[in-house]
Amino acid sequence: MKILLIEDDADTSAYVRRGLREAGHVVEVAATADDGAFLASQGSHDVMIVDRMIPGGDGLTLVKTLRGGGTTTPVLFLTALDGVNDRVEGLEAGADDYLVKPFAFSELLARVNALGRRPPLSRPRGTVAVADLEMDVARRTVTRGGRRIDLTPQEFRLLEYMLGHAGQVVTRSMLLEKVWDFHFDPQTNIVDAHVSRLRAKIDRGFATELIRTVRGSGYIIDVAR
Amino acid sequence: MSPVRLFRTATVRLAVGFSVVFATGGLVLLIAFSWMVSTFVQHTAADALRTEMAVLQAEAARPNGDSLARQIREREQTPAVDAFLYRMEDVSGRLVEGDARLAGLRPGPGTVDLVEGGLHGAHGREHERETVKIRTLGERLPDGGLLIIGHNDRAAEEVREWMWKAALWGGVGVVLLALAGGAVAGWVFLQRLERLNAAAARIMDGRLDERMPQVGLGDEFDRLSVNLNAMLDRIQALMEGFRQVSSDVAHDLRTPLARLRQKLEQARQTATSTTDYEAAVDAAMAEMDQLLATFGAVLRISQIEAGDGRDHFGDVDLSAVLERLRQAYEPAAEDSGRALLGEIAPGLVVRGDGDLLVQAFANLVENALKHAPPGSKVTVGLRRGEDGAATAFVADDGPGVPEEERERVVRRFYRLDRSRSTPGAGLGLSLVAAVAGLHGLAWRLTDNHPGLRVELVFSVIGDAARG
Repeated sequence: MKILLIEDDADTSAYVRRGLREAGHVVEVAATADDGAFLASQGSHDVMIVDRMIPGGDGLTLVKTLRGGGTTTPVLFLTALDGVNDRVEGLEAGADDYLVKPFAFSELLARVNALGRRPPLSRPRGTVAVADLEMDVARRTVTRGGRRIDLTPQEFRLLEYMLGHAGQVVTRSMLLEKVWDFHFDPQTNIVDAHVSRLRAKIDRGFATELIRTVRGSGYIIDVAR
Repeated sequence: MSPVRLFRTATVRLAVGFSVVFATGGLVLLIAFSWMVSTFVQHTAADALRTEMAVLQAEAARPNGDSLARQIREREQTPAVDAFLYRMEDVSGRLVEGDARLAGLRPGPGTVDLVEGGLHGAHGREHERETVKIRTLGERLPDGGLLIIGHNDRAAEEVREWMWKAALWGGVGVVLLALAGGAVAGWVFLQRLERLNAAAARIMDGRLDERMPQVGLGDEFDRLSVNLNAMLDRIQALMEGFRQVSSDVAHDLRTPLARLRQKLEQARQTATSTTDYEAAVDAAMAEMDQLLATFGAVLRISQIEAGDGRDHFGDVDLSAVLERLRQAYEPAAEDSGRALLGEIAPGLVVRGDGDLLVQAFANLVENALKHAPPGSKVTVGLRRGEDGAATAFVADDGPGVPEEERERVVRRFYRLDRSRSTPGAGLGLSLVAAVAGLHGLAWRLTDNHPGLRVELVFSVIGDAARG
């Protein structure tokens, strides 16, 4: 993917750029709001990573301007502020996701991947499938190998999100935000308990495990390679 | 208090202003009054002259009546106080009868100044020499002569004089009274304010627990004291918060930092393989994450306590929030051998920040799950109360918190001795307290017999069950 990184802190910038390049992405870097706006208008990026505090106007204003100009490129906000309202303000300005510094690089990578290959917003209400696991989103039914699997509403939402990002790593905090709308770090590992129940329902008794744990990051639903 | 300062007070300046207004008003009133009185006196005098004139002529016109000259003579010889003066002239203007001094007057009203002194006339009254104004009335007689009747105008003069004196002294009195009243009021006012100033000075000197005294000048001023004190309470609470955060950061974060350093040092000295180093780095990162989470929590609590987030208040379906929370934690609770039950009344909507409320209740649930032993029950509940209130609670049947400790567990980084071995930084209830404060909620820790029960009382703005 082609990623635009707008970040003024040299260390963070180098760290993120190196990590993204190692993951196979093309990265352009801008250190000021003006450079960022210029680069954003030049190339077609798949994802923009914007720091909220950058010289020459803050990231919020930059994103608002870009959105006002018709740019639809997904934006991930980076910020050192852990303010109560910062997340809401960022999303209102037009950002698609939000990550508070300091962050684990695996978290950033997972979120960038999720943004870059986001399914179209008007996804047809059909079925989603990975291998022999099928989900009928409209009827809210799940089958594997033709056998009906009963899920609780939470498990259904969890599986729905994971299937929507099949082949990508989804982190625990992504799941907390998207499935439960929790925007804080619980001390209890509530995600693992849910995933293990979901796993028990869809993988137990089948030869291939579809949900895999990615150590230090999160989970991935995929056909094992 | 110096006189200059006294004069500078608003009250005294007001009093001076009022005294000017009062004095002017009083003066105008007195002038108008004296003018009216002297006019009345003049009219009375003129009437008396006309009446006397009519009486004399009527007598003279009577068939057997006394002639004018005779009447005048008789009257001049009868002693009387404030008698009339008369002069009768013939056609050529020569004196026929009466007082020679009333010369040179014409018909109609007029005045003449006489010098009186010593023994005068038939009255035998002694006067100092003085000029006396005589008011006169002249009338043509049928034979072409002239009859002049005069009367001393002293009474009217005296009335006018008294009125002016009254106006003068009255004005002076009004001014003096207004000034004195203003001075007294200002002095009293300043004395009372001085008590506030003294209290303010003491507070500025660092005695932050001092409060403004009641001034005793009526409701408005006492309300000022009450408001100032409320402001001071708030400032003190915020300062206390800041002070506590700095000391918390200094003392309580030093321990994990030291532990981190120790781990790294140990790895540097003893690790021999990549695996050893990786293990040490992983351990250090885990420690670091915990530290960062603690920092984040402290910051967040401070922000909430400072009032951030009120702008984002909206309608929150508390029933749905609590049910979502219970379901989210249920599997994890089950895995740890505890039951997470719900007694949640449906459809209750409150006003607040949904994210913060979720986090606060999550902290309560996590606390309960952490401190209650395996096998215990944790209940998340929401009950309709009276008058549109609803009580949300998280209760466990674990060891609970001793009554004397309940106030302290709310403090940042405070932990009961027996929970030192469980993970956590002692910030959970501080955040709950901050969120409750932001939402203006009453909340309390009570005994669940056994266990701890934390209750928060909301006021409901929407109730699906009652419409």
